[in-house]
Amino acid sequence: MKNIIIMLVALIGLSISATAQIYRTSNGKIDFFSKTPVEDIEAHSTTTVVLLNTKTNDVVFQVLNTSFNFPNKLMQEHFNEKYMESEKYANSTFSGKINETIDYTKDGTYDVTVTGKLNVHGVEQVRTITGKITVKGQSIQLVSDFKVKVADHKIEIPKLVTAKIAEEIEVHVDATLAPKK
Amino acid sequence: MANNLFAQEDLLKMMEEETPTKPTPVFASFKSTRLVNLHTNEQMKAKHLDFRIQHRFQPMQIDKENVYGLYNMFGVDGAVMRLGFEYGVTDKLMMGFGRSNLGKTYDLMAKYKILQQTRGKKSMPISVNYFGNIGINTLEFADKTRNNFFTSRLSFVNQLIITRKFNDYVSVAITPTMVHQNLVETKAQSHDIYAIGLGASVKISRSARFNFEYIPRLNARDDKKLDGTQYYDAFAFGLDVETGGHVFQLHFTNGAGLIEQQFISQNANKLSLNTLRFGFNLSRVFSLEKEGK
Repeated sequence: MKNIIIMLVALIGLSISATAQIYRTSNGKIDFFSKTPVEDIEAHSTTTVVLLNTKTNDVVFQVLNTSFNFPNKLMQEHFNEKYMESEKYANSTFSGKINETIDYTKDGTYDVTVTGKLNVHGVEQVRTITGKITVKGQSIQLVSDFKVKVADHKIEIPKLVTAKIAEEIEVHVDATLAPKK
Repeated sequence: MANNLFAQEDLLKMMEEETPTKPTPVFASFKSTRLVNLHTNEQMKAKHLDFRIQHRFQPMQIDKENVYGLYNMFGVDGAVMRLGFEYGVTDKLMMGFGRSNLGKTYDLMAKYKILQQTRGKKSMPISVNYFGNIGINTLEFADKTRNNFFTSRLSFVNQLIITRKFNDYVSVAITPTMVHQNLVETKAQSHDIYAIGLGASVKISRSARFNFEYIPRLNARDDKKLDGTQYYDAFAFGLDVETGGHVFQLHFTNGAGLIEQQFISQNANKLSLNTLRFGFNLSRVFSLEKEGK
């Protein structure tokens, strides 16, 4: 009987730690920049969903393409209609694994690399992306800057506007995660 | 061991649960706020200004029996045009004004988004917009000895724009319209004209669409003007070519009118090769929203 109680307690303890090992946010920020001599374009989303499993180091990002906000709404429409084809490919996602072991119980900033699949415009690319993880109490901040070649994701740019849209888009990610309830 | 079961797949599954399933608005049903002449459900977004130049050249006269086609460069020698400024007050309301050299007419317009087509569960199948305008004809009165009123210059349009984007390629529009003219040419002529605009748009490439519109009038079809001639239904087809901030709309129409009261209820040209006109709309959109976050 005693053993059973201990086992039950252990199981409950396990399941608690199992839920606490998931960190999440639905307010992750993604900004991207297209810089050419003719035109600088930038857009921002603040509704990126990020999930991190601190036990397995798995991490998943998902952003709704239509959530990117452009100062020029016509550009926003073209982004969704012509380039991302957001009605067909609603989300851009990244699912990967953090390569370094990180002590999530200790406050600090860690340089990390994450290897995984980047899915943009329905085209998947295996990427290793560098970033920083900052642990501060119950919050985990993920920050990364990386580049995405539009051609890698079969996003065609019409000849008429090649001068205005960069071949490589700079992406900035900043998300602060809290334990999932 | 249980912990290791949480792999990426589980996170992705969790992600699905997080993703809201509410219907998403359908966008880009048409390339522009106009199909050819008819308004579409597209609105100027808040703080965006559309500077619009609309041209309808003279009839091309490409009839075999008519030798003037080339002489007049197929109509390019002369044009009816409208300059317009149309502004998004909010994402749902746009207002504008313009002036057309046909009848030296000023127009004030407003378009309001009533329903937005959406995709997903419990989606809205159509978009509905209201369009209205006031036209002010500023030509000198034909009979100056008569007691003329300013109100005689006015004409009004009320229109519902019902559209549906069926898929990535095909969008259609049905626009029941009422045109009211305060002053008409003869006593027998009707002041109120009812019409139903029918339009379709087909995507050809990412930057181009083919558009078609036909606007049958429902009443007073045989009303005669003072000179004994009559009006005809408007017909138009053309291409939209979009190049970033500009939309070029190149088309052929059987009428010269550029605002609803002119092209729906006062189109003097029967549809024929002889009367077909080349025309274009040029739309340049400026964002007046402040840059940055």
